[in-house]
This record gives sequence, structure tokens and C-alpha cells, in this order.
Amino acid sequence: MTVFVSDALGGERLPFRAAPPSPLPGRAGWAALSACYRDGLAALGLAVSRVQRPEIYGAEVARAVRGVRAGDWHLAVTPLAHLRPFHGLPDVFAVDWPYAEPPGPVGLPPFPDVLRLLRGAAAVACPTAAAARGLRAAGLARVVHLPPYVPGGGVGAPSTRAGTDGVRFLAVLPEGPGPRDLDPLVEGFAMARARCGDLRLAVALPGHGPPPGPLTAGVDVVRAADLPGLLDGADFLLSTAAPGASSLPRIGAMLAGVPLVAPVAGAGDHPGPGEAVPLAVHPAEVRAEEEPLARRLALTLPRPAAAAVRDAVLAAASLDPAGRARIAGAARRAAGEAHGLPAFEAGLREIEAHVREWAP
Amino acid sequence: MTDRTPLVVDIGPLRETHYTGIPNVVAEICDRLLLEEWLDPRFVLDGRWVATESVRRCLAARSGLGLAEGLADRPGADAIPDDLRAAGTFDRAVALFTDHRPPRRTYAREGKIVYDLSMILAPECHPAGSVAMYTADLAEQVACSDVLFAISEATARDLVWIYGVPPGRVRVALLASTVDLARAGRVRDAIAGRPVEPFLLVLGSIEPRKNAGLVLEWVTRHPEVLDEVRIVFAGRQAWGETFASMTDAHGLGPAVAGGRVVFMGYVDESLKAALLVGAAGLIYPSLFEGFGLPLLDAMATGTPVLSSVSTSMPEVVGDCGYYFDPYEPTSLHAAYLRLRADRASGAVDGLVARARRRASAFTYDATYRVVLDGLFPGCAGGR
Repeated sequence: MTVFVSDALGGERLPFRAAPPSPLPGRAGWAALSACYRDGLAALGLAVSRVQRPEIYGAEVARAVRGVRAGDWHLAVTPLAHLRPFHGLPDVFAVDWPYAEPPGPVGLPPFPDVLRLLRGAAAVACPTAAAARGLRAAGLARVVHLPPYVPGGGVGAPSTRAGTDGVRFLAVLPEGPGPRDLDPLVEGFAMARARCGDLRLAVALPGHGPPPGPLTAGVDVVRAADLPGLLDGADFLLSTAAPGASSLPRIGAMLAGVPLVAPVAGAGDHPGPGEAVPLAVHPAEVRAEEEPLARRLALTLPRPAAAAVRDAVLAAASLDPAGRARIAGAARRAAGEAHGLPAFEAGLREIEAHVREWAP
Repeated sequence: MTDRTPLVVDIGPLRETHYTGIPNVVAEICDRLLLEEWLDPRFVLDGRWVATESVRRCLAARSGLGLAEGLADRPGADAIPDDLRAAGTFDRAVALFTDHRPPRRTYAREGKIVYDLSMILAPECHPAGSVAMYTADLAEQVACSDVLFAISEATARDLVWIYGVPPGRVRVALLASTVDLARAGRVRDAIAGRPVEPFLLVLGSIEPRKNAGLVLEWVTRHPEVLDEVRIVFAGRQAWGETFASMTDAHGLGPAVAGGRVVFMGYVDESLKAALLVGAAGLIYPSLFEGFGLPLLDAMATGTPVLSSVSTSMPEVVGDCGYYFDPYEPTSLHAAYLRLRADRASGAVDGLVARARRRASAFTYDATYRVVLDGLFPGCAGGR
């Protein structure tokens, strides 16, 4: 059995180009999720074939030329706007719905009714339990929690470094961070640094090329291409990401034994209480006017305020090594359990059952 | 009050100077509906009510050059409903939109032709500005059309998937070839069996969707092919990477300089027919098509086709060609080797004969019948 995985976005779907396309916003996160899924499928013995444009193989002869056989299925790991069907095969659409509220029956360009598209799939695979809950609440059936498979979790004991050059924080931001993402982070960190000068923050941005200069005293910008290397040099991962969103950098840090400073409340899967230095997020702090989607869909995607970042950073910096190890150990166990092969396999078996029942 | 049934036809594609592709489709439909005595046709172009005689002239010339003359002085299209109300026929007026349509209903029944949905499914194949303009209110255009004419099953399938259009609202109106077979015959007579250095023809404008890069990648990986055949690209430089930049990127400069890879640019219908007759085969590597008329032209001419297996193209080619995956140079090479083997064995002659028969089964009379029956359901084409 072969799983045809489509995860190309935008210009990546154009072959034989002299110049590589510019990556689309959000691309790195989806590429990482797709890699986790493909690794999981391969680890369970399934053949994986990547397909750039699944929708073009609608004719039977096209599927034969592409090497499709009975029992094969299609897994699309893309943002909603990039979903494409593989006509004639069961479609499984990966959907990472990061909001607390379920999606309504509204369009997200270019599709006038995304829920209808999802209802037509053999199954919907959600990387977080929170996303699965949200889509089920929207009335979708055949929604499966398929956690990304991240090898290496739960092995050995996390190590904590005895820092001699202060406490080093790492923040990994998504593509195209706006002021809403960056400002509270930098402002809050600067406030913390004003009280406890022995702190440094590296803000990792996606992409390549030389990073821009320091944002402010103690805050450097680096490139996020080499997450393991960045984690090696960090005492904490400071994550202000939306609590409902799948966050592979966060999972990577948990598995690497780097303690998190992150929201522990909300709809997200990780981290839970005791698995991170908590970063307070209050719904009252949501500024809907800064969130175009929130205006349109009445959704909320709260970010912590600068004062909350300051307090959490100071709390983390005051932890002794044992306290750090306790948090890191709990996080590592939780992430290892949630993102190991057994958890992935459980989700996959559920999807395969839906695929077997699928009828066009 | 007239007994004739009003039919308002938006003829946007007919503004083109040279009719190929979509303008040809619209011209073929308009030719036929102008023969219907029971119809009272009113033509609209760019929001203006165009004189029927002007449309007749442009159809005869197969050029929209004359349509623009005096267009600004013509009444607006919104004068048509008033005119029909005055004539007492507005309530039974029907409209056909041959491309873009307003996102609101006006007439008793409205139909729209949908050529392909690559702007939605493959936006990277088009300039961003075109995508924004074409897709801005497409969902509304689809929603307010009583009937949608898809030019292939593939386009119909995309309409159903993207917009949830009930299959009963979609009619598949396949297209036909308008290649000048008489002219092709004259070219064949002129060649008269004399040896022509073999060449493979790649028809299509140079733009990402047409995927000329696949052919260049193939001959880069298999340079021995260029010892056997020239590769001739015919089509205008449209947008995206230029042909020269693509051949440079593939290191094919010497092949271009040596005439083994040839770029002819735009070719008119006459030259196209001649090239099709002379070619050892047509390669059509497109990533996404609503139909694939050049394939049908080649089949009608008796030229074997190596066709991308994407979207609608198998509906055109059937079992009368050599398919390949438009993302796989190895797949194209395998198709080429099958053609070469069939040439050596003579099996290609049977395939070409079958392709001719298949191409002749596609007719614009059939296209027109589907459109007419869709616009006037249940009344035998309104007659």
C-alpha cells in the first residue's frame, strides 16, 4: 500500500524551474509536519510517494501512469487554501485548526465552503487533539487525532546545563511574524532584563541568509534552519505561540529536554501543567482589531502581554537546576508519549479504518 | 410581441484579434445560434450591446478587430432588459455567458461556460493579477448560473469538488478541432513522401502551465534524443521564465545554436497545420488543461501524440496516444521509446488511424447541441 503525500505549496508545484520559488508564509511549519507524518508512515512499513499536484490524476489512465494501485490513499498536509483532491483515491486532509472556536460554514479563499470539502474527505487528520475537538464541534465526522511522529522522545534523562554566561532563552517564531508576535516578546524580555541583567534571548526566524542585527540589548536574531543546534545553546524555549496550534519547535524542545516557558492553559495539547514555566494568557488581552480572521470568524488567538512575558522569564531565570530538570523531565515524558510511534500508529489505524470504508 | 425567444450572449472572448482556443469555441457556437430562426440573439461585449451585423462580420473574419469600432457609442448592456420588456419577451429571455459573467442574475435562465479552474487549483500557473481578477467573484458567478457548461469531465469534476455544484447543473460540452485539414492535405501533397528530417513538435505558449521545461529536462538527461530528432517549440512567449533562460539553465545553448532545439515563437494557423503534418509527433506536456485542443488537432492531422496524462487530456486522447506524467522526465522518455518502437514496427499507423477516427467524433455540432439543450431544457432546443 502506498500513501501519496501532497505537501507542496504555491510555486513549489511548478516543476523544472531555473530559480527556486520563494517559500510561502507558514511553509516551514507544514514542511516539518509533513516530514513527521512521512517518517511515521515509513516507520510503520507503508510506502510513501510525494505528489506535487494530486488533482491532475483524475483519469483512470492517469492514476495508472502515476503508479496508483488498489488500496492506496492520499494524505494532504497543507494549509486549507492549498488542499487538493486526488480524484479516485480516498483523501485524508491534515488540518491544524488552531482556534478555540470551531470553524463556521464560511469560505476561506479560494474555497467558498471549506467544511464541505472536509466533509467529503475519507478522514481529517489533526495534529493536535485540540484541533480535532474543534472540527468535531463543527459537525465533522471522521476526524482523527494524528499526532506528528517525532523520533527520539523519552530516551535517557534530560540534561541541564550549568550556565556560566547567564540564562539563555530561545524563541522560534513563525514565518512573517508581525508586531503582534514580536512586540510583546521583545518588550517583555527587555523588562525582565532590566530587573535581572544576566539574560539573553535569541529570536529564531525562518528562512536563510544573514539575520538582521540585534533587536534590542540582549536580544539577537538568528535563523531557525538548525533547530537542534539552537536548542543545544538554550536553557529555555520561550514560546508565545497560540496555545491551540501544533508547534513542532515546542515538541522538539520538550523531547530535547529544554524546558519551556509557555502558556499551559487553553486548548493546546502541550505543555500541560508542570511541563513548563507557565506564561499567563488572558482572553481579555485579545485585541480583535489586530486579528483580521478574528473579525471575520469571531475567532480568538490570544497572545501573552509583555508583562506576562516579563513575569514568566523572571520565574524561569530564578529556577534552580533541580527545578529546571523537574520541568524538563515531565515535558520530555509527556512529549515522548504523545509523539512516539505507538501514538502515531493508533491514529493511523483509525484513519485506515475510515479509508477502508470510503466510497466515492 | 415576437415569437422568437430572446438569447443574450456575452461574447467577451471574441474581442481577440486572432481566433484560436477559447475565441474559436465561442465563434463556433455563435455561428450556429445565428442560424436559428426561432432565436432573437442579442450580443454583449464589454458591457455594450453589440450590433448583430457586427458580430456576423467578425465571425466571418475570425477576428475581433472590427468589434471594437464604435463600441463606445453602442447602448449599454442594461438597455437589453428594457428593450425586451418593451417587446414583452423579457420573462422568457435566456442568457449565455461565454466567459466572465456578472455575479447577479438578470434573465429567466442563465448559463455560463467554464473552461477550466486552474486559476483556483493551480494559481501558480498564472500571473497573480489575473488570478485575483478571475477568481474575485467566481463563486458568486457559479452560484447564480442555472447551468454550467464544462468543456470536459475534468472541469465538471472540479466544479463539483470546489463549489459543490450538483452534478445535474453541469453539462459537459466537449470541444472539437478546427485545424484546416485541407491545408494540411496540401502540405502533405507538397511533401509527397519526400524525407523530412524528423522533429517533435511542442505546441503551446511559453508559460509555467504549458510546462516546456519538462521537455528541456528530458533532452538534457537524454541528449541522444537530439541525435534522432529535432525538438521544435511553437508558441508565443507568454509569461514567466523565457525560453532562452530555460535553455540556458539546462545548458542547452549548443543544442539551440546547432538547431537541434528550435523556438519558433507564435505560429499562425497555416504554419501550425504545416508543422503538424511534418512532425514525427506532438509532445504536449501541459500541467493542467480544461480540454487540450492541440492534441485533437494533431490527432485529426494524423500526427501521433505524446500527451501529458493530466486533467482533461485523457478524455481527448483516449487510447490513441502515448501518455506520460508531466512531472516525470523518465515517464516522457518511456513514452518516446514506445512511439519509436511503434514506428519501427509499423504499429503507429494503426494508432494514427484510430486517432483520426476518434478526433472526427468530436464536433462543434455536438458542443452546440449540449449548450442549446442546457439553455432550453426539455423543449428540444427551444424549437
